[in-house]
Amino acid sequence: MDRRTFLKAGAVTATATALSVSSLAPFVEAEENTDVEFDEVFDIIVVGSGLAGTTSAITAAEQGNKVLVVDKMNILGGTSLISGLNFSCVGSDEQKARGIKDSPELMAQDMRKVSEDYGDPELALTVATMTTRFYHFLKDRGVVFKEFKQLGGHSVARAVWAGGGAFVIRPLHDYAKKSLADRLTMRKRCRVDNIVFDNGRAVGIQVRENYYFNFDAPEKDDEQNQTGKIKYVGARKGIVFASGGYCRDKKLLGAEADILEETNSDANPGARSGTLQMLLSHGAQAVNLSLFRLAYPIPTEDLMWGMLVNPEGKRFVNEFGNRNTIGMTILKEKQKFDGKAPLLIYDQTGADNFHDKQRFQLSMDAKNGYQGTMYKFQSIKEVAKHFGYDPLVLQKAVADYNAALDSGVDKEFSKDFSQMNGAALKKAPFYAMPLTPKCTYTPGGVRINKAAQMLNSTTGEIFTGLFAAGEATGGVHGAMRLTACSVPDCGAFGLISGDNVSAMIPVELQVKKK
Amino acid sequence: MKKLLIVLGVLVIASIAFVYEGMNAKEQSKETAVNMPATTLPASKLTELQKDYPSKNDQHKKLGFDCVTCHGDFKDPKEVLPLQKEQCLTCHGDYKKVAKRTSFLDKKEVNPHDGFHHKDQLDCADCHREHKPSVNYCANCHDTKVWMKSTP
Repeated sequence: MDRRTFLKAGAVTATATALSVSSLAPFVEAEENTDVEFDEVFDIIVVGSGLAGTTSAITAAEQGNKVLVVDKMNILGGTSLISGLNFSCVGSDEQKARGIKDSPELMAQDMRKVSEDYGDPELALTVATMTTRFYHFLKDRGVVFKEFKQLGGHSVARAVWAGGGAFVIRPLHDYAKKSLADRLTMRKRCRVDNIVFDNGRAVGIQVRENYYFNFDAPEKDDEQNQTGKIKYVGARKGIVFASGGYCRDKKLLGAEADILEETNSDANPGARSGTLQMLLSHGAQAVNLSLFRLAYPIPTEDLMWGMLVNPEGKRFVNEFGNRNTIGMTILKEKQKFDGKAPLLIYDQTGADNFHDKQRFQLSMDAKNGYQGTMYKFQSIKEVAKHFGYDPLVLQKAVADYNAALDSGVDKEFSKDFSQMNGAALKKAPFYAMPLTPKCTYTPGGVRINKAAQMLNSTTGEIFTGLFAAGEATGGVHGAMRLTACSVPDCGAFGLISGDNVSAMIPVELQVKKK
Repeated sequence: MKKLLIVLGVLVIASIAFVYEGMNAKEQSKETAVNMPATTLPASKLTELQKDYPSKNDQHKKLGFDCVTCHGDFKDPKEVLPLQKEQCLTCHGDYKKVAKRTSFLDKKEVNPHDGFHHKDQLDCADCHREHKPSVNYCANCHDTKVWMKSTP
């Protein structure tokens, strides 16, 4: 059964249980029905258990609401759980202790500098304005910040770090379990298939419980997965979609820009567009879906110490460039060679020059994500053997590169050799890895206003009862999300959606008699 | 014939209980009571289902497991779900014990049963499969071959 037929079947079931589900035609008005019967009813439903969803749910539960969090995956926490979660924050204790002057306006300005004018500046300012409150929200609920950092693109030092996503998500989930158990329920393996509307207002969702994500063929999960049992859950006040991005959805990425199909991703395997498509089918507005953020297992700034060669043993790019230029060039090169990634090689001096040695070590330990492993070799011949190159071809490439370095001028790609600090391909041991840019974040998604309300593309009005937060939304960051700005985004719109959904006047919903 | 089956059944249950006790003694965990779920499914149906859904786990096969041993009783095979960790752990002790077995991977924080990201949150069946070849869940995001061998 394909997705469409499934939805049809779902719609039939919906009619049978006297529900109004407008899943088939995007612009059909939701049928009005006051006799809606639900298997369960909560005040608020939050879709997604990552940082945005968790923040929204805790905020709403603390204001006395009965909240249900659903997540389709086998574990809770989403991509947040496996992310670094550096947090750009204005007004942290760390900033105060160092006497650093900062303001929301300055942070928003930094965010807009890399946005290439895509997206909505008002949303960026909203994010920056909410950081102080979010900082205390996290600290008061058990998150401990271990480090304070000055990160690239930020005009002042403002990033705090708890040690990784697990050190943010776990304390929050533990807190919810301990202090909000009577009001907050988190349910994994529960996928949202549709929204139930009543009098034009979103009043519930159609879910499948005991949903088993198809890890064997994840790219077909949205279309083909039939697991789970259909249930209807009501939301008296509203629904918050914090359902994440679509980094793993090669089909959508490829439709937006062909070469993006060549990217790797180590986001949550469930980071696909099923929920986004469902929201669009009801008229939600998609913005900035073509945008993407490329990253590498090792810092972009440390690519320059090495040489990049394609499968023919030829250089093709200035290794000392910006992340997206190098990334796009690599992706095009991969297309030329049937998806085979170019090779990045360092010598010992190059490895010693790394500004971020922790990430170099992570790569040596094979802990730097999918295809993020660096290997060590005693000779270029060994490198060639390991990666399937003709040794003579690779040795010639190395000799040419060294000769160019000795001459001081890169005639081919104008790399600034004066900055190399001795790095060449001369001093054994050598370090090498195939290099593919990862798509780590999708800045596009559903359009919201600064109150986290979802907007309707046909009417331009808000959807009553529908909110969105985090990577599921679009237009907050624009072209290149600034480092450490996803956490404040999840935090800001998590808090705002939590506040505003709590403030909704509840509708009365019936629970099905058993 | 029916009587013979019952006798055989009792023998199988007894021997499983015996083997469990042995396993548990070796691993020095507290005693685990093994309750073989009762089933309304006829033996012939169970045999048929075992042909359709064969086990790939030699240890389980040796112990003579049938569908209901792990899945509990059911009427329609379609309603049978993959196992959650709690179900596996009724025999395999607790998560900590399982994590201890792979504690040699702790040094690099890549113990799959006590990992950096997921701690004890994963279900056993996320990696260990009974009816299909096992997989490595960590490989969804990592080059796991450098850390460990294939999943049993």
